[in-house]
Parts: sequence; C-alpha cells; structure tokens
Amino acid sequence: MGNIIIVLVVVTTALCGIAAGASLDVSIRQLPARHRMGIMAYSVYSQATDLGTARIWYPPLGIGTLLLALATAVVAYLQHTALSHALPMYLAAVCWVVHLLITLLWALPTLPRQRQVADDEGQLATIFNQFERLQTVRAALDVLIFALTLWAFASFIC
Amino acid sequence: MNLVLLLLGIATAINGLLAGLNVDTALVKLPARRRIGAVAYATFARGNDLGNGLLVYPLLGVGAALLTVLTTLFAFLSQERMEVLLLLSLATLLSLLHTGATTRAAPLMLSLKTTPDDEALVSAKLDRFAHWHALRATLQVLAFFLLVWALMVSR
Repeated sequence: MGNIIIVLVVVTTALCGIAAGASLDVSIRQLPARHRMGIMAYSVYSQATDLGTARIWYPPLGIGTLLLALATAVVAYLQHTALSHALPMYLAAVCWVVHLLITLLWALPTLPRQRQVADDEGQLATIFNQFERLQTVRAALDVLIFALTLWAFASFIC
Repeated sequence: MNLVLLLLGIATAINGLLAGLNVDTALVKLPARRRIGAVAYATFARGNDLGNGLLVYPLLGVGAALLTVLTTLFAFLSQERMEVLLLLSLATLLSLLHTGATTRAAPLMLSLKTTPDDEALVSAKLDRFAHWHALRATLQVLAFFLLVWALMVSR
C-alpha cells in the first residue's frame, strides 16, 4: 500500500515537469514573440495553436496532472502519511486548484475574444497583454507545483 | 543528502522542463504550420525560436545535457549501485543523442532568418525541422523519464 503513494508521486512529478516546461515555453518564448512579429501576425498563429492544436494537448495534460496531484494528496491523507512527506503533496494539490480556477475563470475566456476583434490591433494588444499577465501567474504556479512534487519525491529518498 | 542525489534532482528538474518545452513545440506549435501556412509560421518562428528561443533553448539544452553527464560521472566516481549507474548511463546516451539531433535541427531553424518567404522553400525546411524535432523531443522525454526512474531506485 505504501508503494502506491510513491508511484503516484513519481508519475505526478514526471507529468508536472512536462506541464511546467510547456507553460514556461508559452511565457518565455511564445508570448514575447508578438513584440517582434507584430500583433496581427501573432494573432493568426495564436488562433491556430491556442484555439487549435493546443485544445488536443493542454486539456488532457492539465486535467491529468491535476487529477493525479489530487489523488496523491487524497491517498496521502487516507494513508496517514507523515506530514514531512504529505505537506508538499497537499500544497501541490492546493496550487493546482488555484491554477484551475485562474485558468477557468480568467485565462480560458481571454483568448477566444481575439476572434471578435481580429482587425483591431489595439484591442488585440490589450487581450494578449491581459493573457500574458495571467499566463505569468500560471507558469509560476506550474514551476512551483513541479518544485513541490520534487520536494515530495525527495522526502521519500532522503 | 549526498552530492549525486542533489545533482540527480537538479538534472531531473532541468530535463523535465526541457522535455515539456520540446513536447509543446512538437504537439502544439509545429502542427500549426498546416493551418496557417509555412510562411506565416516562419514569421512566428523568427519571433519565437529566433527571438528569446536563441537564449532559452541553448541554456536549457546544454544545461540539461551537462547536468546529466555530470551526474552520471559523479555516480560512477561514488560507486553507486549498478541499477542507478545503468539508468544514468542510458539517460546520458539519450541526452547526447538529443544534442546530436539538435545539431541537425538548429541550423534548419536558424536558416529561416534569411530564407525568402517562398511557401515551398519554407515548407520543405519546416518539414525537415519537424522531423528532427520529433526525434529530439522523443529522446528528451525518454531521458527525463529515465532520470525520474533513477531517482526512484536511488532510495
């Protein structure tokens, strides 16, 4: 039974690493590209990815990782896992819930708005600036969650 | 915590971020060229891969490979268990192969900077880049999973 929690932590850590890397890529490489290529061209790209190919990849990754993090925290609670192991798992689960709320309430509705203002450079700039702020918070949370899962992992090793 | 474990933890973290970045490019960004056209995608790539990507990718790519090699080296010097050494050696091999694939992919992306906006020409270059990128993304994800596995068995 004790192995279940370790397997969950390992799988969650692996998926959180992938999620954090993908999120950082959006924040550090993709979004800043709009300043070099221009808002209109970036919007064309964004509609093809954020409103296109990303719909296949991000939901399973995000929901899968969220469910795993929650399952890990629940199993740790039910197994009365020592707080030194369980604390980072609880914190990761809380961070994921915050991440989910930011995504559902603010980030997700932001990008589709570009379809209504496709020819207005000023409004597109406002939309992407707003999304960038939200994405910065989400990327910080993703990296924090990955660090927390590594902490949980390390607590079993050390 | 011993030095090998510390290095292994850091190497796993950096390799995980690189794996996520690679997978995102392979599954989200590159397929978008089929929707918006190769020339429009090249315009994005010049702002992305040839923008901040010129700093981020070499830092993460070289950092991940160096950390993996260094961890394996220290693991051998510390005479870690065979199981850990085997996994680290495999991760190092994959990391080096990833670097090899990058030496084929990177010049293609860099050449976009001066490539004229000719749909057929740009499309051919992006297809070749996507081929090499798919290979290096697979290698990087496998290297990351091997490092996670190595962490698990180093308990």
